[in-house]
Amino acid sequence: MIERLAAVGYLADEEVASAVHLMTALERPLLVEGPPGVGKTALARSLAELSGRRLIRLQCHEGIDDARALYEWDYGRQLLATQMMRHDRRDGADQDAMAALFDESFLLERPLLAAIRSQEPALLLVDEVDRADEAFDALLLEVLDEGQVTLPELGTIRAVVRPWVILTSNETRELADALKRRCLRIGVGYPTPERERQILLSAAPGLADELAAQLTVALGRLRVAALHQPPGVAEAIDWARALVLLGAGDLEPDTVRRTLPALVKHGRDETMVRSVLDVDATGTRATR
Amino acid sequence: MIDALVGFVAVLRHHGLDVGTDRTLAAARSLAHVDLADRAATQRALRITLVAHRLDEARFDDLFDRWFDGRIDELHDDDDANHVEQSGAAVQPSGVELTLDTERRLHASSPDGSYVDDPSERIGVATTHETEGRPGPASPVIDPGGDPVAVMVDGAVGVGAASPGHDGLTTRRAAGETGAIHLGSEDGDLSHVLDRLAAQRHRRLARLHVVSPGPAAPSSWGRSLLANPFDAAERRLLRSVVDELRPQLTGMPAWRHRPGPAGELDLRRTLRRAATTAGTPIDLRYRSPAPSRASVLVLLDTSLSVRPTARLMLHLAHRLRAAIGRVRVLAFIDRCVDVTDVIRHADLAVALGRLLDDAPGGPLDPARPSDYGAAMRSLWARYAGLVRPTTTVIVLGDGRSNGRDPAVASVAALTERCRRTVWLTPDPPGAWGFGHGEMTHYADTVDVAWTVRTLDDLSTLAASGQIAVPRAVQGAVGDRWRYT
Repeated sequence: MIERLAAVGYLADEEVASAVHLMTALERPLLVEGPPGVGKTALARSLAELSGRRLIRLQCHEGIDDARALYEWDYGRQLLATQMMRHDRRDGADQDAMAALFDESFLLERPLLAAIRSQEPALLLVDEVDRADEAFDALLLEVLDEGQVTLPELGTIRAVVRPWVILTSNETRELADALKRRCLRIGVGYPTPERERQILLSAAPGLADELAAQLTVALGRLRVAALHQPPGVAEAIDWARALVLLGAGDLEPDTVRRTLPALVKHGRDETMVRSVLDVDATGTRATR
Repeated sequence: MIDALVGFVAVLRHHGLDVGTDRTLAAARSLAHVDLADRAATQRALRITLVAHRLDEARFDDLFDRWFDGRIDELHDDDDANHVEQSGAAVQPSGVELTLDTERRLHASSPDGSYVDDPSERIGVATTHETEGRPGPASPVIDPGGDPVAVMVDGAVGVGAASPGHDGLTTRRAAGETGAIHLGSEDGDLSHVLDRLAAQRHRRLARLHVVSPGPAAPSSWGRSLLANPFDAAERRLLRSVVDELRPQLTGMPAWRHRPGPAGELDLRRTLRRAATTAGTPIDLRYRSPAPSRASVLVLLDTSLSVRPTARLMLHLAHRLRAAIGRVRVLAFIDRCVDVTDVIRHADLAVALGRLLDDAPGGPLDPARPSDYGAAMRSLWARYAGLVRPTTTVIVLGDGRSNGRDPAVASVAALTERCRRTVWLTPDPPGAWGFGHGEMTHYADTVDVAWTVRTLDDLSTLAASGQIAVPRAVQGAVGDRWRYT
């Protein structure tokens, strides 16, 4: 599994590989928790690419509800249909009209329903589920548990091919126990320096080996500093690519200063990052 | 193997990990997909399936090592394998089957963590082999007396030891290849095996209790708390009280969509409604803003003066943290310290141990005199962002500032800025002004000040619904201050 994920550009450790293996073998949803930018979403993308499954992504946010996550009726077309049907005065036309109005042809699929009804194998990514309200956790239970959804107008729809499900969470809130109970769970943290070096070399072609090693050291120092948003793997890759674009061969202060936009994502962190990386505002190395 | 797993789950539960039957079943099934001879892989599989919280991972690893005494062979149940070989059972391919009977046994672990061993329950335990004559990783095959309606938990089961590094995504599944070796339910020898397994498990449990180091050695104050944990009945009562308090603390959900003149026209729902009136939008639907998610901020006094009710208050803070999604817990004596992640741990003893571990000389050293004024100032200086109009603030403390500036204005500002302030103090109102107590002043500035010494007091507060009373009618409905 490690090799196969690496073949699609995802360098997984044994913990992640085991979790993915068990998820696919047991057909249980996998909850991936960890700080932003450590590769949770990338894992789902890579797994979809590796398995040839269609990736269906549901990006969660505050206030998300069934109309955005599950399904919705195409009201405009329904209204048009009612206007067309009103002149039909045959016996039983009313019943036919009601049945026709709530036909699947008026149904707008949202990601959850799309994953359930997908004729081809799918991988459902429920991204940043912790951003959604707690009530949304309950909406997911039937999908996670039974691989089905129940629509009041149409009844229960079972998955044609049960989708693999990956949920990601940045742990900004505690997920409902009922949701966690239905999932395998894995915590993903920052990679080890050696693994991160490999990731950078893989994701930023042209990056010098020595520079990659310097980057991992610098990233390690930044992550133990009290930053509002410590750099994740995603920021590290951006930083490495920026350095490659600038043709940097070494972590010179001026180079670091010019590439800070790829690394620092919070205004309050800039001073701290400059301090940690020994770069003052003018781009000269500060004395310690 | 199932016995070992169930026993291990009982230990996890005993140490505060929340492991349900679903997780136990998933763990049992996961063992069919790893090489049991690979200790690390087995540990990873069990961790992925059994652990629900990040903070429990270290605890899990520690218990795993101790439970299996450094030998994963415990999972193989070699004795059972020998027993089956002696019984002359047919040699079958490797595999794991779990039937309803297995589920019954997994359910036999009671919710409070104690394992209920039912000697009358007779199960078959068998092993399967990779090749004839050579024992492979043993697996339990449990069949309720050959009951033809027994349903597989997994239906088809995995075949062969599949490690993630080798097998990849392809899960070889072939129910027909699995070797179910049925031992009769009346097999007398089997009861001997089970009795021995049960005794072995109890010895392990006893050993764990004796040698368990528990949390890092806390102060004597902490030790007295640890020595007197909540029993099951108290935990149940606390859970029900917090469940009752929860909507009062976080606010009842508002109507998201309502028919009325206020709010923005919700075109989507209006059109949907119009479908029932031949497309004529007679019933207009309006959208009111979705309510912001409420949050709760707990300020927890950990000084010696609150020692009589510290046990209750710590459990309350711990339970609130577990029951309400957005809860921050700040402990203080003379300075606020964010202990949310610490108190979040499922095992209160562990949480308390960590909380008090760094106490001597630190900001939470119980030897320091409490200073509510300084604590409030530090709240505004460091954690002002936590106080929002949707926040309910709960102060758990006695309001003794030891002659220092009580900073009543800071508490008043807190009330002005947040949704509700609720002050739970162990002292009755008659004692609020004594011994450098400032509760009389604080009580004037908060929404609800309540004397809570026992769970019953807390239950009374929850039943009164006082926290949910709107500020506009406070005083007219019930008492803001209450003691029992």
